[in-house]
Amino acid sequence: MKKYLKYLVLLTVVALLLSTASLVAFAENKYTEWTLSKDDSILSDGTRTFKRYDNAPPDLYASSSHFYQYANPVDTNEGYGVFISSFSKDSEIVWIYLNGYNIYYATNEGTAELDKFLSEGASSYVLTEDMVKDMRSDYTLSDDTVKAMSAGAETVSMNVRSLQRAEKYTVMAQNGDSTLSYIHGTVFILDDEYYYVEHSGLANDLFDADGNISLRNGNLPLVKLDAQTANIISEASGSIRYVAPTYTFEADEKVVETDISALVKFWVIYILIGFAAPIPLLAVGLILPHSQKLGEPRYWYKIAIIGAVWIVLAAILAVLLII
Amino acid sequence: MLRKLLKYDMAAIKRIYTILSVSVFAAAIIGALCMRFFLETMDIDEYGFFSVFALLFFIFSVIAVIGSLIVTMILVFIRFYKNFYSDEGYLTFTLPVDRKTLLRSKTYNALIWLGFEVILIVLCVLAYMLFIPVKEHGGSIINLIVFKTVGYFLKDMWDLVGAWLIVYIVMIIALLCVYLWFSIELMHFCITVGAVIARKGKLFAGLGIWYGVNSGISLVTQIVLILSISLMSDGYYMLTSGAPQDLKCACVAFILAIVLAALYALAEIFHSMTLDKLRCKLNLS
Repeated sequence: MKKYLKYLVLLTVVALLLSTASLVAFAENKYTEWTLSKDDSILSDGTRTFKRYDNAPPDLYASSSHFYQYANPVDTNEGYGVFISSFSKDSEIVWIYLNGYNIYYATNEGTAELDKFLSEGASSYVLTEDMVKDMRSDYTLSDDTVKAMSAGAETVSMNVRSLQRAEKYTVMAQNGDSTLSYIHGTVFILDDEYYYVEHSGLANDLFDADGNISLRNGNLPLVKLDAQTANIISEASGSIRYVAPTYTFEADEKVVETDISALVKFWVIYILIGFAAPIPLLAVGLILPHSQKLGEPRYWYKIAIIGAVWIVLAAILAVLLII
Repeated sequence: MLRKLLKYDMAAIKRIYTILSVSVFAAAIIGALCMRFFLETMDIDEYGFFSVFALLFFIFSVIAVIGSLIVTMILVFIRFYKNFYSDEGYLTFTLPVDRKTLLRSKTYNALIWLGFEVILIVLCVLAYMLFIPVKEHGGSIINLIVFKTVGYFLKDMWDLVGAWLIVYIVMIIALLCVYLWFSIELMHFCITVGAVIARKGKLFAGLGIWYGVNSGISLVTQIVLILSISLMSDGYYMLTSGAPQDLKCACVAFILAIVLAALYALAEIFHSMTLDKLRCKLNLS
């Protein structure tokens, strides 16, 4: 028994020594420092220059499944700081959210990418409910379906006020990696009839400030969808699923200062639960088999084995946490 | 010999349990359909009475599902008590079987019937999920929307942790099985202690001891959990932030393994103590 106790004490001391290895101060790293020119047209991170992209339509959305936010805000002309977001740390396109809109800034490569997307059209299309078109939808539409929607069975002209009670879906055009999207067209469902209007080619006075179809005044040239295409839209109800984006924050990537007390608390509790708690199991499992009064030794040895396995698992986990 | 004992133990409960499970499952399906009817007609005045009746039947079906668990536990543990600590026990201990095999037979019997009960409850919940949700824009009686939602959740989890999801699912199933075993051993131990220390009302004494011990264990577990999480979360976050995703997933797997070991140890301890008491109680062989 004394021999076992010696080993147990040794194991506990080793665990304590291992735990001190984790109290190493993390290197302090700087976050990206951004500067914005006085006219808000040039944004710089110290190595790259991003120019404000003035050709962005009001309905251009960042619809990626993942976003990256820089830690340091930048002061705008309006007198307050805003955070800079991007698709990833090395993306050529960044944006700030100001007065309800994304304002995009891009390097030369990013500008070329945006120009290409807005001029050459979409790589893919998704269908989304009108109220949540800024969220990434997984309901894709094929090119043939979108073409069929634009061609349609017949064209009708309808006053926009009569569309106020219609159910609406939006066809979003996406770029190659589905990080950017804009509104390609709107589907209206009115009295079980399906209509589509493609936004390109419409007069400006038919849109509101956000790039959506304004339902106040005017006549809209709608395309009535054929039965097959209408079925596709009908199936969409209840099947559209929105992908909640994930976020990476620059602020989480590097630890600026180490909270020693948090680490101490963690390791003290860890040693109690991981190493101290199974010691009674080991003690009971090794002492009781030698007691003549109490049952079969095999059962008590089982308990000692479980205690040993517990300690081994805790030791491996401690090593994983330290490395 | 274990097989023969188990055969008779199971035969003693089989008939009642079969009737119970078929009735409960039928009640669950009818309850689900009633709830669907209630949801679709609750705004229609003409169906007012029938809607209320349908809702009441649904509530009755839920109570029946929960009640079936209690009935199964009663059947299983009454059998344990009667076989060992009532007049039947006198005959049980004259069998040419050691105490260890007798106890193991009762444990396996309890595990099997409670396992069936868990499956029954899962089937009833599936029936509720299948028939209750109202399908928008027409559609059939069966609506898969809940299953789709579960599928999407699993897909999101797979995107987050990859193949570790399979490891976690296996470990969670193992944890549930070990927890079931632990609960059975705890009940056996408490009934045994009640039978040993009480002269009259042994079963009620056992139930009282079970309630006390179970409450104590739950309280201690909750205190340990709350304290551990509040004291350790910051340190754990600091140690794992910036670590590769695989390492983080491995840490979670090891934590689950430690919990599994702790639960297994507790179950084994109660089993050993029950066996000890059984050996001391009657020694006619």
